[in-house]
Amino acid sequence: MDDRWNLMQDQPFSRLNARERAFAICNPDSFIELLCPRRKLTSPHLPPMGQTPQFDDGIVVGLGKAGKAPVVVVSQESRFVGGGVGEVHGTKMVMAIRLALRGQEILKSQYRSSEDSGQVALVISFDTGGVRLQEANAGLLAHSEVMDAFQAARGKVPIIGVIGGTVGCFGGMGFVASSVDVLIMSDVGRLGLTGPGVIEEVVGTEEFDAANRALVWRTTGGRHRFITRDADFIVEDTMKAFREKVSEVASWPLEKISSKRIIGTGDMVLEQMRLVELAANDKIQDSWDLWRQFGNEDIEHLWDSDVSEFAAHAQRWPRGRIGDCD
Amino acid sequence: MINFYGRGRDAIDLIVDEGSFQENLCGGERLDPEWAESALVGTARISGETVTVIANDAGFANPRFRMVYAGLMGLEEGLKMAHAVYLTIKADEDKPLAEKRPIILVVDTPGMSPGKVEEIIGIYKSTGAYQLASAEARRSGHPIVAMVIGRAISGGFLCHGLQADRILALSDTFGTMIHVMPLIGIARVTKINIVLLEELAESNPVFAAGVSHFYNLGGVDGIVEAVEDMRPCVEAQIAEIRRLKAGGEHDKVGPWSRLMSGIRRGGRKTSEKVIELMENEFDLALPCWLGGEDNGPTP
Amino acid sequence: MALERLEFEYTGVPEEKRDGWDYLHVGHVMSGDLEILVERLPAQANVSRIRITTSAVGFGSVWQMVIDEFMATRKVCGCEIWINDDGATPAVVKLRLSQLAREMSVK
Repeated sequence: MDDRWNLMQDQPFSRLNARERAFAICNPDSFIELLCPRRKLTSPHLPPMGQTPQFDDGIVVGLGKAGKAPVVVVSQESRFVGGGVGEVHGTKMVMAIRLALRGQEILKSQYRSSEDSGQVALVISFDTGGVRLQEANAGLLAHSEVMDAFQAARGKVPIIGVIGGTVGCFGGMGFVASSVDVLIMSDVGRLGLTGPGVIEEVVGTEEFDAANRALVWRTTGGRHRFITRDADFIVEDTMKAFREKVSEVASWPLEKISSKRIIGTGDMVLEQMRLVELAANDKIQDSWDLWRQFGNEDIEHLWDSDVSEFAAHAQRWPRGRIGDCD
Repeated sequence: MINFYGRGRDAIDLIVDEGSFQENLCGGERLDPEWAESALVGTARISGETVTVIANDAGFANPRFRMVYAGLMGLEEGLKMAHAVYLTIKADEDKPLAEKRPIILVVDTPGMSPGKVEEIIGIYKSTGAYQLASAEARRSGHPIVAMVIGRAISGGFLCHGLQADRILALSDTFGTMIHVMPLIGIARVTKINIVLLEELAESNPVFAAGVSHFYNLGGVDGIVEAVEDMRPCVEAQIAEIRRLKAGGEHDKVGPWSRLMSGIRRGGRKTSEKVIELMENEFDLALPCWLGGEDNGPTP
Repeated sequence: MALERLEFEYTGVPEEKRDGWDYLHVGHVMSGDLEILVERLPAQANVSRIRITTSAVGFGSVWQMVIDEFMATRKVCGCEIWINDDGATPAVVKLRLSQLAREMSVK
């Protein structure tokens, strides 16, 4: 088993499937899957539409250890109906959050909780376009249950988000990813609400050409999200890079993890208002306009540099409330 | 039959005490009247009790963001609504549970604004912030009742409505629209035959548009059949929510309670299996997961 | 539009050595691909059952051929094999089956 684990560490995170990511983000041999494919708890809604179901409904959930921290891991599979959230998929995610909370309570009350036994953390690897249209209503409702469960976990279970898959994280799952404590992205990862194709359809090809990969990535890609602080870390597209960062963050005290949040308090709303102000009245045409405002100069060089150099030199959005330093 | 598309203001007047709505006053703070006008927020009274009102006024476009019109929620709109919720929480932070003021959501939005600048800034944060604020207010005791009067579409409904304790909707006869995408859109994107989808929608509420489908899935708690019933129904819900929260039954309100309703009403039977199996497997895996050489259960 | 369900059964000599795995899983359900789940039946079982769910209707005889070949070369016995297929070509099916065979021998 360790051989498999070792092999996966050097592979691109983006190329691995959801189960491999969940398995390899945990310590070797620590991952226990819940509702594994053997349970065959598939979507009953897809077959009548002529869509073959998948045994895990496109999401892998399980328990493991990341460093010393017990973790509940959720990993979405974008190869199956675009990672779309349907009834089973959504309820599995909601239950993972609730079980993480329960695990935390049990760890604190029934297990010896010495300094180094760590705390339960939740790790979610997003790879989804949001609601699965074939089960749209149930998928939408599941999103609201996830957001509520996140709020219930606040101050109790730290939530670490990971975006490094080929689809990225779009639609309603964009809300969810922005509500985690710490978000880790790679260059491959993208985060947004409306997908490029839909924007093009609504605003026109002249303004947004969805086929222009560079434009798409600098609008929603990991580098831009790192600059706007939606992503706390940008890492190489390897399994190892993601795993090491997750383990590191999971070992932090809860307060330190929570301090990385970008939304979830009244003050953070005031901060975001200040960011939005920069874009009003068409002041921003391109993400790079924003990069310049934050003091980035040789942007093309920054864009082409490798991830560690980028992370070291990028000037990021200076957080602050409206009125703080205008 | 009349409908309320774009008539958030009229609906507020039908729900709150006559002449009591004060726009842009939230928890004692005055907001800039020119800020994101389609996100209509303010303070009113219902039978004398102070409430916060958050509504859509589709009559206003946002002159600062051109993709915000017809009730679409943009960057500023989501943040303004979130701000109103946090001001409400702050205003009552020292009050006991029974005195936390209710928040009334009047819902009529066709969704989130799909624009380039919205993606550059990250519009998901505006509406994510509003959802977290609402969940916090609900969990700290404020009764939140959503009244769907027109359109409750996709991400718009997610942030403005679906975090409420209870959701009421005017019946289909008022042209009330609740959905993620109309069937014709689903057919186009999924390449599934529209006739087949229409046929399946008759027996399965899981994907098709409509108030009754959402009711069967638990996504709507109650259907209101007449305009004049909105006010008494909202009041009755506030009383019921207060009673449940006073008893500490937080899982009997809000999104989780709607999942349970969906199971009871037969619309989310598979979710019930997921919940049961995952709980069982979790319990079985617990000792192995949390245990270990130096971390066994305390004797 | 509906999915087609196929079932095949094979009889053989029960395996002597049964260690390493209870179940294996490979592949994905996506256009032109499939997932395969193999579960071991209780020891001494001499029957293997294969259940296929596919969105490509009317290819029963092709499936029969591909599965016959796999069962003949792999001598898989006492297993239940579940396949969810979304229109994979015979070449892709063979690829996934050989991936499965590798996993069977590695573990």
